[in-house]
Amino acid sequence: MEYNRQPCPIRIVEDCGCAFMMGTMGGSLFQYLKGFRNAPSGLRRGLHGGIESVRLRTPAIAGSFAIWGATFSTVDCVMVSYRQREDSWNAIVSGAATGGILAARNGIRAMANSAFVGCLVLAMLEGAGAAVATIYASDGGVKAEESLITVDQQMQRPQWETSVADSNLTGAELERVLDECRAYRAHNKMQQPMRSDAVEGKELGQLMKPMHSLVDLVKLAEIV
Amino acid sequence: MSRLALLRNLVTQRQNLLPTNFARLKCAAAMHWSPHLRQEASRDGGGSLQRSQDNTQVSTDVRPIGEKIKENTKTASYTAIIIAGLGVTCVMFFAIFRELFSSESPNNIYADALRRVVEDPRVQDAIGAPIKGFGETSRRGRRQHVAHSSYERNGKPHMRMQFYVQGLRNKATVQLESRRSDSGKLEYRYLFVQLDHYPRTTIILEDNRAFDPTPEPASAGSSFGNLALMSNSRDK
Repeated sequence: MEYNRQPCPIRIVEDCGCAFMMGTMGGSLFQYLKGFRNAPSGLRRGLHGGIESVRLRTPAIAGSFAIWGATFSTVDCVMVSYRQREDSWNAIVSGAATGGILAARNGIRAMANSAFVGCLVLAMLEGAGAAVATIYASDGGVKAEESLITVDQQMQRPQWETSVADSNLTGAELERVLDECRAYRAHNKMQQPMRSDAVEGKELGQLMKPMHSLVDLVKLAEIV
Repeated sequence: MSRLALLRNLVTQRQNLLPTNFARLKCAAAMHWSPHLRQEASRDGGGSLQRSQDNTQVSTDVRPIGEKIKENTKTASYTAIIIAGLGVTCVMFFAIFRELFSSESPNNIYADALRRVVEDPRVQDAIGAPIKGFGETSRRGRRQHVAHSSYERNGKPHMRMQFYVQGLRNKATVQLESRRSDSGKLEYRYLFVQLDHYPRTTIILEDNRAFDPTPEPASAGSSFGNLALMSNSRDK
């Protein structure tokens, strides 16, 4: 079960098949157009020319694509196994290695050229992917943050949930404390003229106020 | 007597033939090396030089102005297309270089965090020693895209990121948030490793949320300083 979840060995076969399919479709389209253009004049001859060209040349093109995909995936899996991580460098090195390996029969110089071209192509592909990811990350900052928070909550981890619950409780308590403070302030303002009327001496009033503030502090401590 | 006469005749004819041929060859050689022919050749050369000079002085461009305008327009269009292509290529290369070589790119933050996670003994004990790191799994099984989002808080850029690590015994999710410190270096606001299976615990490698720069709340007075500390817990 754990072996089946590992994508790497199975991915070689899948990538080979996908590349073969891409080669078949793309090659069929291009070879049909080329055969149609190069056929003798006449609509029926054009159609037959296209079909003939597709039949003759598309298998070779599809085979080339399949070999490229298989080699690329193999080298990529070797890189993942060796480096124990997956990032853009794996793809770039795999592209260069694939170009070099597939041009090995033509000599060292052709190998170097093909490796360089493979490296450039994969670098551009990774650059395009990175640019798109960066645009998405910066554009949808708030939404992405919310989505990440949602993902965190959906994962339902015990301590994470506990911390989230703690934060929620703390927020609720904070709001309750703030409400109590506002109510107390309103009450204090309401009662001030009453006290001034009732008590004649100002000294008694000044002495009373600190005691009230101390009592209020104790109440705050109990509430918190 | 007749035989002798015939032999003498042959010998005489032979002697006559040789001088004749020799004279012809001599005449041909003399004609080949004669100064007259040499002067004629040099004269022809001089003539060709004069002709080329005549051609240089006279312009041969007799195309109408309409064709010139059409050709220049075509050249300008092609140049514009070429410049557009080069621009797109430069943008792509700029993106790839920034992604791979900038210290603030998601790829490099992921690499640093992964190195730190892999080298921590608690994580090694929890999930097993050869630890492999990867990002989100795409449809085709490639897992190199690391989920990240960047935003700004208190005027400083932050980046939140999530990736996965897998060892022999267990699998974990790494949550991190990085920000730029006062000295301009990147630091972690927090770095957690959450185990996926039993025992579902969280290993805290770094937690700097207490050192967040606190914006002073205007509503609370000085006597409510504690509440500001409590409000920090909301900003995790």
